[in-house]
Amino acid sequence: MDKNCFLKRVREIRLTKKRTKKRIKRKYAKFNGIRRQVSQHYLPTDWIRAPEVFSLAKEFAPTVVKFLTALRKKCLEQKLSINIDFRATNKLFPEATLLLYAEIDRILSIAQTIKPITCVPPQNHKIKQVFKQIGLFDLTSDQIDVLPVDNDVIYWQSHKGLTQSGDHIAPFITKVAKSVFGESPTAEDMDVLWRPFTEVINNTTDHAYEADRGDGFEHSNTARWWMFTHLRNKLLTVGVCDLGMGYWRTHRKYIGEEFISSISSSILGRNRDCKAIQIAMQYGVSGTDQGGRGKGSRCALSLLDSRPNGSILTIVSNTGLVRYKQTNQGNAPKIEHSVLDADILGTIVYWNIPVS
Amino acid sequence: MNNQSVIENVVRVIDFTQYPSGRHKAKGNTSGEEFRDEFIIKKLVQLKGDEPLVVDLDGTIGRNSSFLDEVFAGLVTKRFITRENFGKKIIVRTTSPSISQEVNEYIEDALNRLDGKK
Repeated sequence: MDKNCFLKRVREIRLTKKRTKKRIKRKYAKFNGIRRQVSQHYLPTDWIRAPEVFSLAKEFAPTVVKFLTALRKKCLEQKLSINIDFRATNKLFPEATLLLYAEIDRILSIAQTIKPITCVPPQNHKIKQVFKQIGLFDLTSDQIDVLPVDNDVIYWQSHKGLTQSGDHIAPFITKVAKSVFGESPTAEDMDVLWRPFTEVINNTTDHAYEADRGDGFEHSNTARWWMFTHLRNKLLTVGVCDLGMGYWRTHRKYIGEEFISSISSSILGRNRDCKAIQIAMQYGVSGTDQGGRGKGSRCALSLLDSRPNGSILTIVSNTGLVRYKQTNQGNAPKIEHSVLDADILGTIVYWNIPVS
Repeated sequence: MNNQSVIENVVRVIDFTQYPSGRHKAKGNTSGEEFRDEFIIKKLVQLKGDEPLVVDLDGTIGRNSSFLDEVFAGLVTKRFITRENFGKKIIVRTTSPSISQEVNEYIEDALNRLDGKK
């Protein structure tokens, strides 16, 4: 072999090695669902590890809220691009997942960095499917190769909106009405479902954003409410979230201490947020002092009357959680309340309704 | 001729939107304010004398209280419905008795508020 031929062979071997190395790197990235943009702007400048469990139960809520607070501060105050590491996340509960979805959407709408948030996908395949199904990866523009196929994942849908227009949720409500009342539901049947959800959205857009949220950042300019819906196995689940000022601050302006003390015997707990939720549910107090107002909150409860036997309405507002459980038609729902050790800085209204 | 005029003097919510929801125009394109101002009041202005206007609430996906209150209490506030012409000038048409009763309550409440202010 002459010298030239030998050198050519060496170059070929080196090139092959280089290509093999690149191929392995590409396969590794594809296997883990990671696609990185090799651009200075897209390089993450900080990391946050997401909680293992997303839940608003007493023991998990502080961790979730701490994570969301850190995310807001890093993205909006420090103006960093953040990599959220979801690899350890292995359990999702709808209320907390809805809050996560809303928070991320709000941050993305007001952040000033080019790509404020990048998701490192969860290792748990189910969680990865859920994030894909609800559109979390679409929000953050991360191309994660996963196809939601599991039955307990594919029926979840996410919606969001800036206004009170009913067209956002109409297709879902029509579908639910058909499954509950048959192929041709009457106008009154439709009202049973239409009112609670649309009135809660109306309440949100009318009152929740009258003042700042209390975290020092502006409101989202692309959405005022976020919604998850799910209909499967004869159970309807709907959650509506807003990142506004909460029941207590909304009512504080309009409800006198005298009124609160006059009804305190019928209100459970000492927590101000729990009290505000119950006042809204029982008395439908309006902020506008005009007739026909203040019905939004009570409409949320009306769905329980029409679908007894296990219907549950859960309302979380700031640090208060109140749950209404309907067991028998005609009876008042059973009320439970608890105080979270963290402030979610918003409100979540959440229904679990059997539709058999 | 009479029948013809009755047929013509109908405003249908379904012609405005299939998804009536919300109160104010600024907060959505299916609001009670827009339906009241752009459909009902415009039609009322065109009517001669005491000709009644039928407001048909049927055919939509749902009807919520904010929408209904804004439409009918708003008509009272704007003096298109008064104690004298209540039930005569504007006739609510719906197959649902509860909606009909609810609308009457909104109108009655608004009339009472108006009387209180005088």
